[in-house]
Amino acid sequence: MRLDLGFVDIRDVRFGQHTAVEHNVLFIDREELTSLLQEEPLFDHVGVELAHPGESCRIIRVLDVLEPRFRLSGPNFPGALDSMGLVGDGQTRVLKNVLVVETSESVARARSIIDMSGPATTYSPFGDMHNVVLLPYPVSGADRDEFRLAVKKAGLKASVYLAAAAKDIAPHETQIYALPSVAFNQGPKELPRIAYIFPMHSHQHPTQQNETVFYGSNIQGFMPTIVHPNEILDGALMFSYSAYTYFAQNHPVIRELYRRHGSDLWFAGVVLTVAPVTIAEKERNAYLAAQLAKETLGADGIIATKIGGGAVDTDLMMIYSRAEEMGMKATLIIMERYPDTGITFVPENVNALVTPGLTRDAVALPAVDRVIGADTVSLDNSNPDNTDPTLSPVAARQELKVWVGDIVGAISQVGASRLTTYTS
Amino acid sequence: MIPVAKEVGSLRAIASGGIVSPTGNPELPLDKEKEFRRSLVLRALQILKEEV
Amino acid sequence: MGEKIRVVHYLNQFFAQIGGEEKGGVGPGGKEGPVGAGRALQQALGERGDVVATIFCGDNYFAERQQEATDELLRLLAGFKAGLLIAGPAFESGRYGVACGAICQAAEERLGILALAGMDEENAGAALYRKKVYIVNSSTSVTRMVPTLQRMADLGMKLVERTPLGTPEEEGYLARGVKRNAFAAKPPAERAVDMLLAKIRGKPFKSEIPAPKFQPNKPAAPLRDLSSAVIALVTDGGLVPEGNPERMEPGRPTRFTTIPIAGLDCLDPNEFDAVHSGYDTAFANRDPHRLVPLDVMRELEQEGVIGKVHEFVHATGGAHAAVENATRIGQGIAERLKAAGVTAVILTST
Repeated sequence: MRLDLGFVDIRDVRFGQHTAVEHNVLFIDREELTSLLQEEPLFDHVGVELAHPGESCRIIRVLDVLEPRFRLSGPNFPGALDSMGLVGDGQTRVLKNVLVVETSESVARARSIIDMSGPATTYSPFGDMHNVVLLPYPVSGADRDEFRLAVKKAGLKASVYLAAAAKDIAPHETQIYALPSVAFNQGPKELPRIAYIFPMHSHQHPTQQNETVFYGSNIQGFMPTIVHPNEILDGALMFSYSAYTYFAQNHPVIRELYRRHGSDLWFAGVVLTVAPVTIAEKERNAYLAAQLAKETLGADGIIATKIGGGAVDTDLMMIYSRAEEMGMKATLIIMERYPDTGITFVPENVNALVTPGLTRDAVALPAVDRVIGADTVSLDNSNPDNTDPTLSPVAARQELKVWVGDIVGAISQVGASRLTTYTS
Repeated sequence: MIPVAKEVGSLRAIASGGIVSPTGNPELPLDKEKEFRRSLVLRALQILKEEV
Repeated sequence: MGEKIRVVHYLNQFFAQIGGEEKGGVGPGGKEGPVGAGRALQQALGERGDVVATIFCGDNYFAERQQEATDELLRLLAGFKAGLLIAGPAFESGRYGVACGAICQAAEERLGILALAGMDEENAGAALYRKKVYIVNSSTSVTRMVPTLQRMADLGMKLVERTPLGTPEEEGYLARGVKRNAFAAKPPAERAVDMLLAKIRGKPFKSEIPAPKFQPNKPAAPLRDLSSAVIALVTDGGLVPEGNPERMEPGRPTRFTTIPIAGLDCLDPNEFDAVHSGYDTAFANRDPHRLVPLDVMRELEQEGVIGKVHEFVHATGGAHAAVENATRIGQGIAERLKAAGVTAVILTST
């Protein structure tokens, strides 16, 4: 399997007569895009707005963020958007420095914010990219859960529609992701074989029946299995919650293992799994995932990350313990939430943890001229820790005291951030 | 979360019906679910009578 | 920079050169200028500040009459117009360390005067006060007096000037248990791979998240007789009466609620809700017995298997609870249950 990610450098995004890429500018036919998205019966109407780096502009109520990509042959987001087929092999065009941002006044958290300038941009890369913001509104009586799925699908549609404009453009840079079949090539003996164990979802918030997470599946009852890392990078996976799909497309651990593959390690492969809700299932998945890493991928060491809440710390600790019992070394990446609790649960044998940061660290975002997504946000500006659901709304354009975790793209549970933590 | 309970020193802990239904199992028909609940509670009561 | 900061130095009877153990009963007092090691503190401060006064108290006096001693010492502190209080270092002297911590906390809270102390990490005063008061780690050895006073002077000046502090390691103070973010030189994925490779190669590495230490509990003795036991139901799954009248927090709980169930054979889903941000409460909302098994408990009560179900269900929503709050909530519930004669609890947790 070989994935060629062809990056097309985009310096500006504007509305224009036709959707096209010309001289590093992405032009968007706004009417054509909104008509395409308005085909969704649950949408009453859809707005499309643009936000550019450096602007005094704030986007709130972000549901998901995607990098616009287009596979030159075969399905895009099979099972979720296009019909079933495989991904991870072939050429994919990427619009570099452009993001598709789904927002929703009704189904997204208010406190999920992208600022296009100011301190937020020191934490998150998203404010330094051109954001194409989608604002869908439901028809009256639309089921909330179904509407949420429709918004996520709209993001996929927009992402593919925009990136298709680059299909005939020669990329400015091509990154090649090629990992041979495990069975025939385990690499030189002196390079440790490293596998990535990836719980992609926690069913403490169960997926909906027709939710599309992995190749269009709702992943209920998902058992650990081996996938090719390119499939994660190339559109097989959308996160249901707790992480932005951008970080599946640009998965930090997968990219890091690829980066060092053949130099100080051998990338043994990826075990994909979920965090279930009973102890018995958690134990079973941990045993099976570790076994796949050891016996099928031949790993000497594993890295594991999580998606979800404190309950999933248990799954990670089990994966760690089973891996080490089997003779592999393990390291975990675990996001911390609160300045006092850190993470829920660390057994004595666990000695290798990496933190991508603390979400509930306070940060002040300055007032802005323009807000996209909604006019107000429910917030206690004297205390970002106040999450009383009956808080009065405040104007979203004023100075906001929020958490670092509210900045979209600042800390991803799969291991993307510019941060570490310390105990002060 | 038995491992967490043991970690913080709560030694009398038994597996629940799961995060979203600690003393239930929504996949069972109601009467079977109640039986499951009863057997879980009886096991809990049994542990209260045991040394740890 | 501004004018020189007025520093007051707190010492016990020994370091204030009044006497040894036999003078531990000496009451609070003060005098102008530095005393004994206070001169080293003055040197450490250099031009940045003046040790304008030394206040002192006997360790036994402080231990036995903390309130009076504190009031008098604060009065002296105010009289000397202190801009900064430096207490100790107490090294491993427990009573002295506790006094240092206490007087620093009082100075900050009651007079708004910046304060910091010095003592060994294992000093009883450190355990009691490190979260509220900056404590420079002096170790146990008095030979560290001069470098410790230097650290204390430097940290004190940073507090005065509101200079952002470095990490506890850099500044030499005991970590207060508050986590903060810092920008990292390498992204987390790279650090994770580095750590794993070091681990595989047998090279040294340092985990980024220290394990929390929990005190072991002594478990209660087993119940001898179920048929006479009063058993209470408690949950951290966020059970509340319909409408959540007490506005119980969906996460980060600071309190618990007490739900009367006397005379109820079961929990009607129209009368009860589950409020909790950490799990999908739909199943518990449709049938609250999935969270609190009252139906089964009533049956067992009627069958004589258990004596009685306690008349209140105590509940909180345990998502992301701060350990201190969770401990306090647990103790609060336990006190009420114990006072009501309850002998056993079934706690249902999500």
